[in-house]
Amino acid sequence: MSVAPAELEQADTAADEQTDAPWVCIVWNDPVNLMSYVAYVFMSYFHFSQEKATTLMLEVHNQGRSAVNTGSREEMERDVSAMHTYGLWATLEKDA
Amino acid sequence: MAHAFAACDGSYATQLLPLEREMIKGLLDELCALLARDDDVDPKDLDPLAVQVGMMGLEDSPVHPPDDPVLARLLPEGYRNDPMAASEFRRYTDGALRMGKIADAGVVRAGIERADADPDGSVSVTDDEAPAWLRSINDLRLALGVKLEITDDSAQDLADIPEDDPRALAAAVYDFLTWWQDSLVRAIVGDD
Repeated sequence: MSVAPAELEQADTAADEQTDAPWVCIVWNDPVNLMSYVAYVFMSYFHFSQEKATTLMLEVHNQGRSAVNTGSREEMERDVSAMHTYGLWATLEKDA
Repeated sequence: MAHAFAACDGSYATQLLPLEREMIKGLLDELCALLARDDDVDPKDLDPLAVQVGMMGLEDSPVHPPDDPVLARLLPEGYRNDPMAASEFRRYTDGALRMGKIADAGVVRAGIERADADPDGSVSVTDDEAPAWLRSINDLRLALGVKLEITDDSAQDLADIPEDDPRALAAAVYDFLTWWQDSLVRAIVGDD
């Protein structure tokens, strides 16, 4: 299911074609979510190894954010939506 | 005092005192009531078909973040710095996100009721149920975290709340849920 409306997709198409940049799912640091839980979510949802999940979790914790996945806008909207079901604070943006 | 979750034959066992079970059920009910409420939408304006297919928003009006700070944390924005995209994202995801959280809370509530029926207050959480338990306990902690105004540097302050402070009970419950959730994560990941 796409969450992008037709108008927005049209407006963004030109920019998409110019840069061909993928979208990223960003997870933001949050004072409530447990470090153990955040690593579990990365393992469970993205099927990352414990080592990779821990590295990304520490990136969120120490740097305030981490780009945990890259892909099409539709894929990243799906990931962000899934992160919200787990209570993680996630957004998507175009890869800089 | 509750028992930490322990992995046992592919499921996770815990034990709760009656008071703890009543407290958790109360918080779950409060959470579900909050999630079922939508102050932005007047029920008479809803398109019945849209409701049926899970699209609760109105077709032609932007969907704003909830005014309630707890709801705003449970149903966050999908985009930063792009209100139009954030609004569209919310329009298509808000209903399913609320329903999912209510369903998760229902799984935990059913489990607590199994503990109510057990002479020792024990309950075994299956591998299939465990993710819903983790998500829902996390939702309760997020809700309490907003009420306790937990920020990055306030973890220590929480421990310093005096017993006669009105926030003391919420802080104690928050601490309990933190410990309990962490024990379930560790039991699942095998990191005891």
